[in-house]
Amino acid sequence: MNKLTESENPDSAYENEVFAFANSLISDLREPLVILDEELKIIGSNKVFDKDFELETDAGQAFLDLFHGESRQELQEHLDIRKNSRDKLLGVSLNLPNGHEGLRTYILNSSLIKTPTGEKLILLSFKKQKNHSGNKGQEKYFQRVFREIFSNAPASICTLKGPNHIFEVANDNYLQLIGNRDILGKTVEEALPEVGKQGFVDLLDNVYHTGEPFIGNEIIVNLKDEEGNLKNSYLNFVYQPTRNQAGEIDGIFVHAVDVTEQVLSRKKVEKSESRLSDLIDTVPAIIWIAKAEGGANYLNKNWYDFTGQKKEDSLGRGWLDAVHPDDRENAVVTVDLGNSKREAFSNRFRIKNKNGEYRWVVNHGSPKFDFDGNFEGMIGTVVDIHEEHRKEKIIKEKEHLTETIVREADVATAIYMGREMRVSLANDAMISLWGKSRKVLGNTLREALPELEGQPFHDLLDKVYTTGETYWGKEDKVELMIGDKMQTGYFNFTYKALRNEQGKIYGILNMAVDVTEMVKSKNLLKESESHFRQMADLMPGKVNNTDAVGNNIYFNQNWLEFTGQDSEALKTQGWTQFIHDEDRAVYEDRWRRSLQEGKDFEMELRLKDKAGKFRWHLSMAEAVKDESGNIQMWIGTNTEIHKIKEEEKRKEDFLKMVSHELKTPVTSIKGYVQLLLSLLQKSREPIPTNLPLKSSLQRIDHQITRLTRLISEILDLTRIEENKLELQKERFSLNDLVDETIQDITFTNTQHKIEVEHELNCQVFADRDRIGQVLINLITNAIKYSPDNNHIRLSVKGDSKNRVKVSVKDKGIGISRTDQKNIFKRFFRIDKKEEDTYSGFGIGLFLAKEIIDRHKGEIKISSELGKGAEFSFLLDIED
Amino acid sequence: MEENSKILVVDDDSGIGEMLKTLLEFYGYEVIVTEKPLETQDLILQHNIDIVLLDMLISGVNGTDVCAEIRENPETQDTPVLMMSALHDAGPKCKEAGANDFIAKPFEMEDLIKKINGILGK
Repeated sequence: MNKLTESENPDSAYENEVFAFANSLISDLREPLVILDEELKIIGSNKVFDKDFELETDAGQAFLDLFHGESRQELQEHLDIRKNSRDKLLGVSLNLPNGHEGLRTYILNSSLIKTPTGEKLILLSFKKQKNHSGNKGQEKYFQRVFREIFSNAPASICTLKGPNHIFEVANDNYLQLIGNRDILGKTVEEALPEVGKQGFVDLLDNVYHTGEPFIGNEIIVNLKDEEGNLKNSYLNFVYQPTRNQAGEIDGIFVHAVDVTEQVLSRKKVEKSESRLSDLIDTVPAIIWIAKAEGGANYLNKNWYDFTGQKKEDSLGRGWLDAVHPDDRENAVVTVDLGNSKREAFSNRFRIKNKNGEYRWVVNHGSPKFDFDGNFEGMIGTVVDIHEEHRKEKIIKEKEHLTETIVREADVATAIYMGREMRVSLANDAMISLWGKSRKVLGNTLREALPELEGQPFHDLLDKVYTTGETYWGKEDKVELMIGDKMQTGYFNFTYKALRNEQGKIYGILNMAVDVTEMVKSKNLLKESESHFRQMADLMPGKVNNTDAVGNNIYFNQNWLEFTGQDSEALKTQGWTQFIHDEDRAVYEDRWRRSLQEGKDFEMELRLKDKAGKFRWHLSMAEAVKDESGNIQMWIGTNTEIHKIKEEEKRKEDFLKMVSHELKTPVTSIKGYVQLLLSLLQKSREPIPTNLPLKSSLQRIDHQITRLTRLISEILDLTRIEENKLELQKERFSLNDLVDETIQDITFTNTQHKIEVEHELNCQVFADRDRIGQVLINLITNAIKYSPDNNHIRLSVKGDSKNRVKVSVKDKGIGISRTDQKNIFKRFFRIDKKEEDTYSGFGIGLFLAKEIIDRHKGEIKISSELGKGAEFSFLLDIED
Repeated sequence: MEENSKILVVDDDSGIGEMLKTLLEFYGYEVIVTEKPLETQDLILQHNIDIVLLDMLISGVNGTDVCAEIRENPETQDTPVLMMSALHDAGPKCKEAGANDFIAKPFEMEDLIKKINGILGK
């Protein structure tokens, strides 16, 4: 301890005077004080100084030598500054080693004192910082802690000195940040050239010159890493100016925290959050989030747009107000149940939209768990399904209707669901077709109809299910177990794929019609057809078969043998080619007419056999008609009648010859009889009256005439049959012909009285001889059948159609109605016991009718049995 | 009746020929009968025949052909021909062949005479 009072400066009284003065100033002050000369040598110190710093001070001792290390350095800096300026130095904070407390902070004030001798002294006063507690050990501890913090702090810290920003210190973090470059002692621009370009040097300059600290948040800094690659980092940093004891800025404290990761992840989160919120607002659904304890705590914009509710009204249970009163309970129970069980749920209810209209919605909720699996509540959507709901309802109604229709339908119908063909629907018709009961419903088809195993239907169904192509069964044979018996049935049916709205197949519709009876009768028909063919082959004639319009279907064996052609050739070319040229046109015309009118066909024609010879055939065809009269087919026969034809021809030739040959002698006889009659008339010799010569000759002549007529009739008959009866028409008076005929007949028929009445005199254009023949036939007929009544009456009258009617009326035996129908037929004779009474061939009326028909006239009979008969014919009048 | 009129009867049946010869001579005609139709034209010229009574069916030869030949021969073409036949409807064919008239067998004597006289214009 150095006491100014004990100063041993003996040099001068002045010095002592000064010394004393100083001592007087400092001795009683309670703060440490020291007085230095201009060389910073201690002139004196007070007791407090010595005590506080535990120093032994000697006058003339260099002040700074009292201190070491940083304390000395700090003090020196302050004193240097002090030396260069004339101002007071006030309030510089310094850490100095207090003797018993370690480093303590002192506020150093220095003042320049001028002695009366003009010497300049420096007074340093140290004011202990009151709040600076602790001792030296603490100080060291703090320093250690500080260093640790400094070096281990998660922040990057450095200090920059001077206006050029020279790196003074930097912690490991900072070094790492800048790629562990060697920076200490270098300016920022030198050490980190990339930073300068990014404006940081300007910032530093600004801080340095203004003293305003700069606080940067999430500033991008582009720094080189160890490998020299530039890398963007986000930094939160502070540029804090540092000041020296004189309060002047002497550097910048840099404190930076690398927040790159946080920034990037936050940005990511921000981005996804913004996306999510965009999404939530753009989805056409209402989205809600509920707390773990229930009740909505979030509803997106769509909810409010939809319901017109306000936010404060909807949250919690408020949303229920928008639900239809009838659906509220269900809605809330389902939601609560989902929440309490922490399970996904779905329910439907109606909510009232802002127009006051209730819409069906579907509400889906799912539990929401946090990262650690803790239940956070529910999240869900509400979707308007009103239209779908409505459609669904309509579809359901339709389905119901369809089901009802199917159930009631007569057509057997069933629906099989899924590939396993579960019988979901089968109407009574189908059940009865299967021979099963309703119990099969709900079973698979394999279970329901086990007898189908080994039949092709399962495979068919599977194929339809796979390809979607409808299968049409036509008269398919199905073996079914009806009761306890396997039965064979035939069915027309369809397997049609059923598709949902997306076109996916979900089942098969089966409709079936039992055609067993039809198939069986068809088989029977086939059988009978084959029998028909066998029969047709056995028949001696040629049998063929065409369809309704005449297309050839079948020719029997005889046809093939006759023509020498095979069945196919005949079918394609027909048999018309074998018809004689002279007959073909007629055939074709008549066959065409038969086809058109459906009338039976009959014709005689010549067919050429395989040797090229023509043979006469009777060709017939008859239509086979169904119940309603529609033509099904034609059956034709061609029977060879060549021999019959030849026989007929021979017969006709014979008859012709007979009639000719008979007439020749008759002509001679008649000639001689007439000669005799002429001789008798001219004879002058009287003939004895008892000798009936003349009357005998007349009777012979009459009988010859009758014989001639009979012979002529035979010939006429053949002529008619050959269609060779030729007419020689001329114009003549019918009245004259009637008179002449009556004369001729009365000439030989004296018993009968024939009366004639000419009401009309007229001419006709006809064959005079033939009409005369008709008259003779009618009159002789009348005579023949009136044995007991000799009165015969003829009349010639006109009718309304410009025709003349000639009637021959008798009062004979008459003709019954039955006989009237046959009276004009060939060889017909009334069947009487006295048959023999009436001679003749029975062709007279037949010939009369033929002759009148060929004149396009009309012949009639009117009669009553026992009351006589009236025969009449009508001819056109020739004007 | 013209006694001078000469009739040629052509018929292969001798019974008919004889009967007609008897009958027509009774009525005053001069009658020549032949059973050979091929002689017809010669006989017409030879006897200066006024009318030919020609049967339609003569064995082996057709009366219509004979008639046609008469008509074809310029010397005989003007000689009248009356054809007859047991086929009572053969008239048209005969007339077609050139016959002046036709009569069916058997005939009434009166009718025959009428027709002959009619042709001869008496």
